[in-house]
Parts: sequence; C-alpha cells; structure tokens
Amino acid sequence: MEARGVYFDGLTSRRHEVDLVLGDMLALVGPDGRRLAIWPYADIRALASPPDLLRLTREGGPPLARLELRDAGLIDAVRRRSVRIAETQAEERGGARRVVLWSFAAVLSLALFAVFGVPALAERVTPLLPWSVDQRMGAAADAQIRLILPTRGGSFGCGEGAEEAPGRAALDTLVRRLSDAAALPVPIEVTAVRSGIPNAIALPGGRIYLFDGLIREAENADEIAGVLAHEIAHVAHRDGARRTLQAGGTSFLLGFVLGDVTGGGAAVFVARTLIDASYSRDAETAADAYAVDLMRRIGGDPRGLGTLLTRLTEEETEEDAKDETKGEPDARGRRSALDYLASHPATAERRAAIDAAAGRKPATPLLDDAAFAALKTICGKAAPADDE
Amino acid sequence: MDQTTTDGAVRPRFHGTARAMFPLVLKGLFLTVVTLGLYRFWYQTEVRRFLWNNTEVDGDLLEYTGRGVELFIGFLIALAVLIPAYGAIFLIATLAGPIAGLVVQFVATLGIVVLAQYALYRARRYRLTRTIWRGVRFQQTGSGWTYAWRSIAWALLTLLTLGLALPFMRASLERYKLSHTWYGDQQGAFSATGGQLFKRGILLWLVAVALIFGPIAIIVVYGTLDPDPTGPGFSAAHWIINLTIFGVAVLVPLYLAIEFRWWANGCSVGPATARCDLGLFAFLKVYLAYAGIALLFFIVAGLVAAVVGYAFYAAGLLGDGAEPPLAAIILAVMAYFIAALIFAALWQLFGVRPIWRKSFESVAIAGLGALTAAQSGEPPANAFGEGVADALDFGGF
Repeated sequence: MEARGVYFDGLTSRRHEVDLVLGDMLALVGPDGRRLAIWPYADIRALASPPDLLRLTREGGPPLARLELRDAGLIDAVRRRSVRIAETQAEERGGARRVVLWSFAAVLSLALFAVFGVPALAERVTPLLPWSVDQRMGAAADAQIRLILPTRGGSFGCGEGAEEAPGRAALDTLVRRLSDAAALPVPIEVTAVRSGIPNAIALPGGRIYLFDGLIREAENADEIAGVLAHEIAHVAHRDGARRTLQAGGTSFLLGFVLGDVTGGGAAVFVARTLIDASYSRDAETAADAYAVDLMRRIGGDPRGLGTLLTRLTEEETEEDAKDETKGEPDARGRRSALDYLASHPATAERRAAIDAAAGRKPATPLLDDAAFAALKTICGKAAPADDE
Repeated sequence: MDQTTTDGAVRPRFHGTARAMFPLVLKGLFLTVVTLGLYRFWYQTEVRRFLWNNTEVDGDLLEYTGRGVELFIGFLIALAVLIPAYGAIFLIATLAGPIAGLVVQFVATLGIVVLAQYALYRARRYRLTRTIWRGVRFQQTGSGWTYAWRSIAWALLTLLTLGLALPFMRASLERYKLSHTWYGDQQGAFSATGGQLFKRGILLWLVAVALIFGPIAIIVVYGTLDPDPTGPGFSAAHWIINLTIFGVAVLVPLYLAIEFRWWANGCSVGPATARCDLGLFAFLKVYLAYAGIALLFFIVAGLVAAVVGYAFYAAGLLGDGAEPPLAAIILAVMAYFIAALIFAALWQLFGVRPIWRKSFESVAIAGLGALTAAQSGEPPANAFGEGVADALDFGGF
C-alpha cells in the first residue's frame, strides 16, 4: 500500500514529498526511491492540527520531525496501525483536565472557607483582640465616611455654633447617662451628623453617628436614647470589629485569588461593608436586649426604640406607595443604600421582643421638654433639603 | 493551495473561520470563569494554536508547540519575583516619608515600565521558539534588558517630541527585534527606515495634533466666555470634545495599518523578503465591525439584565425593606465578570482573528524557494516573560 504525504525531518526546512509504505513499520520513501525515515508504529504520535490534516511526529526522534497527511484513507490506515498515536494529546488533555478540576476544587473550598470558616474565625478571634484594635478600625472607617457622606454644605458634626450648642448639651447629657451605665472600656463618642438620612451607625471602638434625619423623626428623648443604647450595644459586643475581620478576611481571600496584590480594593471594600451591610439577625436581637437592659438601668422607657422603629417603617411604606403612584423609582434607589431600615429588618418582630423585655415598669422622661426641643434642632432649625 | 503571484512571490493564507473558532473560545471562556482565571493559560494556548495551525505559508501550515502548563509556570515564576518586589517597594515607600516616598513611587513606576518592556521581549522569544514551519523552529537572540532600555530611551524622546520621534523609535526597535530573529540558522533583517514611516504618517500626526489642540484652543478662547452649561458655547465645546475622541479612535487603526504595511515591507529572513499591500482602512473596518457586534451584544445583555432585574423586583427579592441577599450580590459580580469575558471572546473572534488574517494575507513573500534553514541549536526559551507580561497586564496574542 502506497500513498503520499509531506515529511520534514526536523533538522532542515527541506520539504519532502514522500510515499508511505505501510509494512511492519511505516517507511517514508522519497521520489528517488530512497528511504528517508522508518517509524515504528508504536512510536507514532499525533499532534494538534486543523481537522483536515493529520500531523504526526515520532516519539524519540528529532522532536520537530513531522509527517503531514491529508488523504482520508491514508490517515485511517496509519491510525489503525499506530496503537499509541493519541497518547501525547491525551496526556496533554489529561493535564488540562486536572488543572480545571483542581482549580475548581480550590475555588469551591475557598468559597466555603470564606462563607463558613472566616465568620467562625472572626467570632473566635474578636474577643482576643485588645480594644485599641477596635478604635483603630473605627478611626479608619470614620475618615472614609466623612469623605463620602454629603452633609448639605455644613460641617460634618452638628452642635458647634451658638444656635446648635444647646442641642449638643442635651445630647451630651443623654450620652453621659448611657455611657456611665454601660461602663465600657472605651469612651463612647456620639456625633450628630448633618444628614437627612434616618440612620444611626456604630463604628468599632466607641464612635457613634446619630443622623439628623433620625433625630427629626423622634418624638421624645427616650426614643433617641433607645437608638443610642442599641448602637452602644454594637460597640460593647464588638460587632463592628467582628464584621471588619470577616469582610477583611473574605476580601483578602478573594483578592489573593483574583490578583489584587496591593490590597487597595480590599480596604475600600471593608469600609463600604461597615457602612452598608447589616449585622446578622442574632447580633441585632442581642443588641436590642442590651439596649432594653441599659435603658432600664438609667430609668428610661425601653419601648421608645420599638416605637421609633415602627414609625420609620410606616413612613417608609407610605413613601413607597407615594413613589409608586408618582412613578419615581429614583427616590427609592437614592434612599435605600444608607437607610436605617434597610439594615435593620423585621421591625414588628423586634418591637414585640423589645416590649416583652421592657415590662411595665414606670419610666421618667430622660430629658425635659426644653432640652428635648434643643436636641431636635441640634443640626439647625431649617428642615434639611433632602428630608422628605 | 497557495497563491503565487506573477513574480513567484507567495501569499500566506489563513483558513480559520469564526465558526471554527467559536467552540474553542466558548469552552475556554467557561473554564476560565469556573477556575477564577487559572485556565487562561490553557485558553490562550488553544487560541494561539488555532491561529498558527490555520496559517498556511507556501502550502505548509505553521505550528504552535507551546503548552498551557509552560505559561502557567512562567506566571508562577513571575509572581515569585514580583510579589517580594512589590512588598519591598511598599515598605520603602512607607518608611521613606512623603517626599522620598514620591521619589520611590516614581522610580518603582519606571522600573515596572522597564520590566514590562523586558517581559514583552522575552515573551516574543517564547512565542518564536514555539513557532514551527516545515519542522524548523524560529528563535530570538539578543538581550531583553538592552531592548528594554532602548525602548524606554526612545519612549522618553517620543514623549518630548510629541510623537514626532515615534517612526524612528519603531524603526530602531524593530531593527533590533528582526536582526535578532532567526528561522533555524537563517537570520532575520529589517530594512525599513524611520524616515519612510515619518513620511507616511506625518499627515495623520498633523490631523491628530489639530484634533487634540484645536479644541483646547477653542475652549480656551470661547469656552471661558460662556461658562453657562446651557449656553451655546458650552454645548459646542462638549460636541468638539466628543468629535476629538471619535477622531482619535479612527486615527489609531489607520496608523496601525500604515505602520504594519511599512513594517512588513521591511522584514526579511535569509533570502526571503516580504512585500505588503495592506489597505489603509483594513484595520479600521475590523474595529468598526467589532464595535458593531459588541454594541449589539451590549444591547442584548442590557435587555436581559433589565428583565432579570425586574423579575427579581416583582418577586419581592429586591427593593427596600429587604436587605440585598448575598446571593444577589454574588450573582451581580458573576454577571459582570462573565460580560467582561464575553467582550474579550468577541474580541478574539472578531478582532484578533480578522486582524491576524488581514495581516498575513496582505503580505507576499518572495525568495521562499531559496530559503532552506537548518535547525537552530539554541534551546527553546521559558515563559518567564509571558508570565511577567500577564502579571503586569500586558497582553499579546
């Protein structure tokens, strides 16, 4: 059996048109009848090539020696005789398959570690950290928040001018009573923030932001005190530090895989998480319980927190209805990101739990009417522009 | 099979269709996502194999013998070298104080640019030593560092002359590359001069200068007189800037076509010389077609995202009150990742592939009959350069 192929000996670029003699071994015969090469069938290996071409080499021969066949019948005949023809390509495919399989396994185990391992580790590690770590985290997040939060042209914190000073004094009274009762190893430092968003944030290490939008929603001082007690609980329970450890650990893991060598992306991610994302439901429940206990100790009404939450939820729902009839999805999108309620779900449930824990013990208002009125205007008398 | 022109010159042919390339790109894309990018080295190898294996010169196909695992190892070596280097730079910059820190930053940036040039040269060596034609390997000699310093010096000069030195930079660098390129024992050479490219490109340079500095002049003269955003002067300035961006986007592929034609006309290996008749608009057409396809995909993807988003909203999973579930965030990140990779795949199919085809098919090679090379004794190069280029985000084919 004879047929044509093209042979390159891998030593020079000379092109040889050869006849193939398929005997005991594969003989490549030049036009002058000279045998250019004899390949044992067991040594023949196929290489990658376009579909209409079979590209062969000889295992153990010059690595770049090539025999190229285009005739389908001939390709068939050579394939039938060369039992180990597919080995080189199979080996390579096997290698690639192992890479895919193991990197997929690595991704999976990494993802599982990020979801389950990192939170568990953060849970164990947080109590071991000194409080100064919380304070340093808080300072870093503080800088980020001051950078990104719009404050209607005024200063970030309220209560600085003569008009706002009485509000500051009232707030200080409230905070002093709460922090004395809480007796945390770090000082509690509350800032009224010039922003219409109805929210309050606790940073790790004792910094608490009380947004003007929330102050304006309150109808008595005990409601504000309740929110502050709840935020103090997050500080006391070190929820912020725990979450920073979690988010940092997770984004470090992801950054490691995705190639964020500098870690700049990770830092921003941590700061954003601190502001946006919520604590777990367990952390919220624990913080509510702590808040109730703290309020009772200073003689305030622990139910104020629940009342304020309900009022915020109801207003939110009303606004939604209004937005829908007006067809303004924009309003929702703009508000939801930093919204207190977006990060504090299941109001009715929480209120019921707070009321149950509060009991029926009589309470005296924590601030008199004049002091509360001053607190309400701690960020100036005019309604903020972005407060609906 | 091969096209032979009247004077015996041979035109390479490319047989790879988008249809044949599509499954390979789709598979590579999917596995790259699943393995968080690790498969890209194998994917890249498959793409190169497709391009090389479908390129026919004088009746015989090119062959690419590179392997994915080689690129992967090159990447690991690059990481091992770069991570301590980054760490050292970071440490020095932190310890050095603000002003010295800036100096360190500047030196580090310069170092990275030099390293990138070095890596590109080494990567070229890897690709050439994996390129086989008629059973003989290409080869590259010369020093990556020499090339890197040469290219940095030229780049600075080009910057200082507002691009006027660019043709001479290209000529110098290509002369270095080609004269250190070997097909077996046959040495390459580069005969095109910077002056030739300068003459062909000067008109484009003038248009580019007019496009960039004209609007600045107009804005300086008229824009300041009309700061009102609703005034006619402002909106005119706005339109002029858009026009500039569009104009530059058109000029780049025109320049690339001019440069390729100039470059190919200067290339030779041993007795074989190339002549190129690439049309001025050849690359621009490719870019426009790709832009059209990408835009189409963008519109379709946008519609799908809108439908999915609305479905989530209607199901009450999004919107206020409910916190966005972690799954939704992961889904959004994945969608972004996948969309980016699909754009990359479309670029392979409708950008890289046609540019490859047009580049090869615009060339006619004379003297191939006299080109007989003996295998070079130099061993094939490792993929360190490829790894560094990958780690620094400098891509090639």
